[in-house]
Amino acid sequence: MFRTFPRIWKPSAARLARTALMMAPAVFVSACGDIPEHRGEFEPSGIVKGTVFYTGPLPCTENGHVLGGVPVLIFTTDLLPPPEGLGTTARSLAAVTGDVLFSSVQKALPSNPDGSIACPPDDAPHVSVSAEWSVGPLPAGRYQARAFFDRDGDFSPILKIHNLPTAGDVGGGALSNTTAAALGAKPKYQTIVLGNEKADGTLVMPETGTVVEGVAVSVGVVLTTARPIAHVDSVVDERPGITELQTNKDDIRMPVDQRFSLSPTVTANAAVADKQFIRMILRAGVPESEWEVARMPPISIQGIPPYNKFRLYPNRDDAGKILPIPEKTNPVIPDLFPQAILARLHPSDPQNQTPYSDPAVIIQSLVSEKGVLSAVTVTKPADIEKLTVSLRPSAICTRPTDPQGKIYLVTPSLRTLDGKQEVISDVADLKQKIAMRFHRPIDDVKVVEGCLPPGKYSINLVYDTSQAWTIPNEAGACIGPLESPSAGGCFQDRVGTRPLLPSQSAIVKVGGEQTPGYCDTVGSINVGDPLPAGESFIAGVPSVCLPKEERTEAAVKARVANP
Amino acid sequence: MHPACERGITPVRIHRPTRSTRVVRTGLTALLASASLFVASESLADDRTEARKHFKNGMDLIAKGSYERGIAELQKAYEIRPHANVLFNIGRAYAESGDLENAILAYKKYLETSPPDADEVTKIVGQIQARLDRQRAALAAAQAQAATGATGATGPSGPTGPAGPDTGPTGPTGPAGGPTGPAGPAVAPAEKIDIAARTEDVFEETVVTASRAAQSPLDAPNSTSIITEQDIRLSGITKIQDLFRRLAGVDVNVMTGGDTEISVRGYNSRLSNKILVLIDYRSVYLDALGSTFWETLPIDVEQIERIEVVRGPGSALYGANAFAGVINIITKAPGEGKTGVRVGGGTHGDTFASTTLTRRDGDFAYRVNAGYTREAKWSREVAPFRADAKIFRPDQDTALNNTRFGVEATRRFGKDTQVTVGGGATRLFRNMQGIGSFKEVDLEGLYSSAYGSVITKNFNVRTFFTRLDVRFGKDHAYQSQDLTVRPVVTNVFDIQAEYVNNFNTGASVAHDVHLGATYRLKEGSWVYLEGERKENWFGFFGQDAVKFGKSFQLVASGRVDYVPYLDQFIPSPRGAAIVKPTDRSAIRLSASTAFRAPSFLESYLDLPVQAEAAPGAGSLSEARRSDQGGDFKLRREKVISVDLGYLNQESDLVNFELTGYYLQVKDLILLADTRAETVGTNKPNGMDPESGIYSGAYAGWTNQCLVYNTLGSEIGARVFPADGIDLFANYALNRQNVTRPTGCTDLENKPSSQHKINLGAQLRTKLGIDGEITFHYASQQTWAERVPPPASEVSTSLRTITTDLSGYTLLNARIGYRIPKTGAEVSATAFNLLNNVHQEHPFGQFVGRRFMGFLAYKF
Repeated sequence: MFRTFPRIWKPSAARLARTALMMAPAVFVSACGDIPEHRGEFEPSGIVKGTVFYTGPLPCTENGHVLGGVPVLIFTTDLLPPPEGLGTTARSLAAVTGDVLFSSVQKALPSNPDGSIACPPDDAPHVSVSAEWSVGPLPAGRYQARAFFDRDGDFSPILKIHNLPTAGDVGGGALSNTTAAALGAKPKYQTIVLGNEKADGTLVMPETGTVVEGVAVSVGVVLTTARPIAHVDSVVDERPGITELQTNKDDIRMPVDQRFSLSPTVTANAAVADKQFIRMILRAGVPESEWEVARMPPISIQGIPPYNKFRLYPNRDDAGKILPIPEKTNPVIPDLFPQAILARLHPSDPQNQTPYSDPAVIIQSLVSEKGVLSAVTVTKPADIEKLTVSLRPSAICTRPTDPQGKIYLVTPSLRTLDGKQEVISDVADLKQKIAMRFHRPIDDVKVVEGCLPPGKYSINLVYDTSQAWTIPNEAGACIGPLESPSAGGCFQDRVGTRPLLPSQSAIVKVGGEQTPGYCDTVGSINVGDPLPAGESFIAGVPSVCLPKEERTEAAVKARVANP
Repeated sequence: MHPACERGITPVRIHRPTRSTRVVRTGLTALLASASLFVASESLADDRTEARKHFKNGMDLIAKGSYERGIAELQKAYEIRPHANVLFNIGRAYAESGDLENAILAYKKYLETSPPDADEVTKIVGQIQARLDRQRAALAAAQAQAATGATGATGPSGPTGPAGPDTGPTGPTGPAGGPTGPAGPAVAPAEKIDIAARTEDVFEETVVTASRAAQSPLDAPNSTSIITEQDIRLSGITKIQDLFRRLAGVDVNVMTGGDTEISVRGYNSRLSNKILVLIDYRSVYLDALGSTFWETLPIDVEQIERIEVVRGPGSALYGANAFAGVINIITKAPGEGKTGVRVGGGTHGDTFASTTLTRRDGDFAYRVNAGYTREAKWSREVAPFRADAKIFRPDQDTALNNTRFGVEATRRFGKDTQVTVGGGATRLFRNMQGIGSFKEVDLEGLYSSAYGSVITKNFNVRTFFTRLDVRFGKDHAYQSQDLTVRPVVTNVFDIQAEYVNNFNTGASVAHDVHLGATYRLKEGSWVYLEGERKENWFGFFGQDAVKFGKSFQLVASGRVDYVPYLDQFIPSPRGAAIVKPTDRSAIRLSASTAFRAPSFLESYLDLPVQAEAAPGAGSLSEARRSDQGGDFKLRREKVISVDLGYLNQESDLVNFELTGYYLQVKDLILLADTRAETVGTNKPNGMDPESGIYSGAYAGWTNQCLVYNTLGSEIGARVFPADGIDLFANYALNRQNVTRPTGCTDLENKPSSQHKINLGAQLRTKLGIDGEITFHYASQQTWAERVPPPASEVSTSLRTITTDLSGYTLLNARIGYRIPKTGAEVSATAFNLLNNVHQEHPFGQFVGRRFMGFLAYKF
């Protein structure tokens, strides 16, 4: 029969082993423990939640959906957008779709059977609606939320020509003066704090993360002006001793050592005052030759009639008092909107679309209708076709991402051309204003005498309504592989993949010396604030204003020679 | 094809006897049954090689007339690994030796297995019984005559008893003193009972996947590894993917507790998509996602007879997606195996339960199985106290929660025809790695399948339907982010018909021809796709394996598939030459091509993807690239493979295989560089009204321009130093380099270990204690993954990050004890015994140590 295996060994140890084995399941089941935590990139973060309250006209609809929505742009207070700061990109973006926001008034929405855009009549009553919003993850910090209802649906967070509200959109934000702002006061944005504050004022994120709830975003101010779309009409360079006129309005040159004076002696003569500066004449909108292209997709901007005008108005403080420019002038010259700011571009971007932020360098210029002294007469808003932007040779250098970093105002000379008088009337006041603008302690602001950081600069016009315009922008450049010549390109004559607006490609180049050798000595002039330890002047330029990779004598001189 | 070969098994195997009255019909039967019981509880494990050794010895001894020793060897083989044909041969040997009573018992036991030749054997039993009756009658008559003679009665003396003369044509003389053959009274003249021995090597290891037919690995046109039932049982592993760690050339990557991905010969990926996984020839590849979700399969390891892993392309027979290998899970046929239950629990609440009911009644057999698995995450990303997070489900510890059910029934019609119907369903929650920004995602829902087949000698039809109906979403997200769980529904209907014929065209030229046609309907409904999608696939395949004598074989295979997305017919040829220097060794050279077609997700993706840092911004991931005109199409992934192997099974002590291969892989599909929005591509209304995302970029898929060349080798041996001890060792080398066409700037991805070593020892004792210990080493991997920037960066652009993963070792073990005569077993397993905490993917969870304990009972 079938053979069986003899049981030849039966030690007690085996029994013990068997017993242990039989107990094993129970032992293991009872050995349960917590799942170990290995956090990857899901770091504790800050979340902001709240409600968008909208009061304004009914929206348009298209293809069964509300056209547009509400982008809520989150900025750190260290990097607010112009005119308050240097922010060019929001730290985060939330969005509320029009469908969600207007869901409670869906029956009142206009529509066309064929799905084409349907808008309510202009006299349709305004509505009040609301919807939840949230944003995050955000690191510990202080933030502001700005928002608008993109009524025409043209917002794009990526494209400079479409990333801000246009005329007809409805502006707002998380405001602390909602009611007053609705009545026309300058909006004051709430500071949203994420994180726990330490003794030194810095914020740290708790391990649990943090959620700030109940942040109300009010959207209710219909914007009546278009963005300050502009093009360079001409450039005027009448500085004393300049023989070579600038004729290329798309390639404007500004020497690194340009000096100026707006002393009462100078301002006594308007012609003399204006000749201190290289002046750009900006015309609102795009040239007439580009109107057709500009209004059609894919560009579709408002730089055509009736939007081809600037609104010129003085900058005022909270009390409504007109603010002057910081220079010592007589008469007092007001600071006007749109402000004109040159911002240094990334040297390695051949299309001149990328701002440089490490450090960021801006040159705020003087805006007037026809010349610096013409600003004196501006006391109320005026719609004009042309602006004069006088390139003021003083740059602000800062590292926006470094909240502990200093802010430097650099100018080739703190004294007038004759060397007798300080250019700035009240340095302490200037520092205070800069400190407030960048939300830093006044001690973080330094005024330094030095040559201007060489390089390419964009031209930015900024209203205080969160509307701004940058030249150069995408409409004037062919960007990306799809718009390369080999892929079809983009062309002025509209033969390529898309048309081009040549007027939107102008830049300012800071380079060259007006007075040869000036920059070699500028660093030795013992005026202004000292540079921090470890920093120095390189070819006359404070190294803190230079990218780290360009902090050599040769690199600066090369950039001066060829910005 | 023989019906039994549908699952690739050699014809019918014996099972544990059913509890019927037949068991105790006679005392001898009782003895036989008790022996059988002993086998069930005390045998060594089912080691094929040991059983084969005893079987061969036994057959040799019987052929030489040494019946007693021969039968003992066969019995030993049967104890080690029950097989019906062994019973047949035992019966035959008894018959030859003249022990007709035991012969009848053995044949009856054989018949209890419901073999296809039951009628034939029943006739044999009848003949033997008749002869036994005649012998007994003759004996009785002779005894009566002798008694009469003793009392004065007259009569001739009958022939005396050696049974040999009447045991058939091959029957030598039986041993003296056989149970029915003592010298004695005369019996009736011998009647010739023609019983041919089942001389085929019933314990021969067979594979079915490489050629769609049962054959020795020595004859297979591809290198094929087998995970045996013994491997499965001794390892204690409950997750099928973990079984593959022991194989050379197979990569196992733990992503999460509910997601372990398998690749062959490299080319690992987060969603492994270059192998075709079959269950009994039915593809379980999820066409919509381009991967196999192992955790959806409605079977347990308990129901698996063996797993075949064909290393190398398999598109020549199986079509698309059999790119780097084919894994065929061969389940135990209904009526095979044992009814039983196994339950286990372990650290972190890991739980496993499985039960199988299997039964055969004549030509009808069925199997019902059910199971439950709960596995914990290896590590978790989100602590319970996080205020800023929202999660897919409150329980952040569970990675897998799976309840499954399956049923299958077969009915034989005659000797060569079998009809099978079956189905199954799995309700699961699964935590897994996704693609791109979907790093850790969950799905929850139901996977169901139904299938049927008709297998005849020359014509087979198989059909199946599968449906995945789940909800899918991120495992966790910040409170401001989208965690919307979205439904995914995919349906696949597949039918394939195959003609099989074996014929000779010369004295020594044998053909094994397979011709087939397939149709596959794929449907997918998913918000991630551009509309609901439906595709009709067709395929035609053929193969002729031509044997020229015993030593040389040529295999020519080929298939043409129509891929609707590409609107192309894709050919996939394979050729192989096999030389056998000896009967038990083979040299194989094969060359083949294969392809992977873009999945639904790759073909029709249309999904706004939220940026990590800004919930209102994101990118539009779309397959057709509307920003470039909308007519973009991916190419299929292509591979060319040349494979040279040597397999030696000469020795009963050691088997070994050496394989070298070359792979050239082109057009790998991966996430494309993000293309920033430009004025030309900007849509008038930039916000997606459904998702509320402003798209700042376009993303999608692309074919990589790099050409990957892989030279590899696999060396493996299995050693059988003594009964009850198996040792195995293998080493895999995978050397990858790339050819970079002009202008190609793609980042090279080396996600597979260059060196891998697996060592293992299996122990089976007569005391019922058995177990296994395995050691695995995988060298460093370098993953280039396209991912979105972290939340700390404000960007919508995907970026490629390269991560070096350190090599790691794993030591796994199991020990078990079968309680004598009870059918019960207790066991314990340890995974990563040394607690070498490591990651097997840059985003994978941290794999640590786990223990489980099990209690099993077989009826």
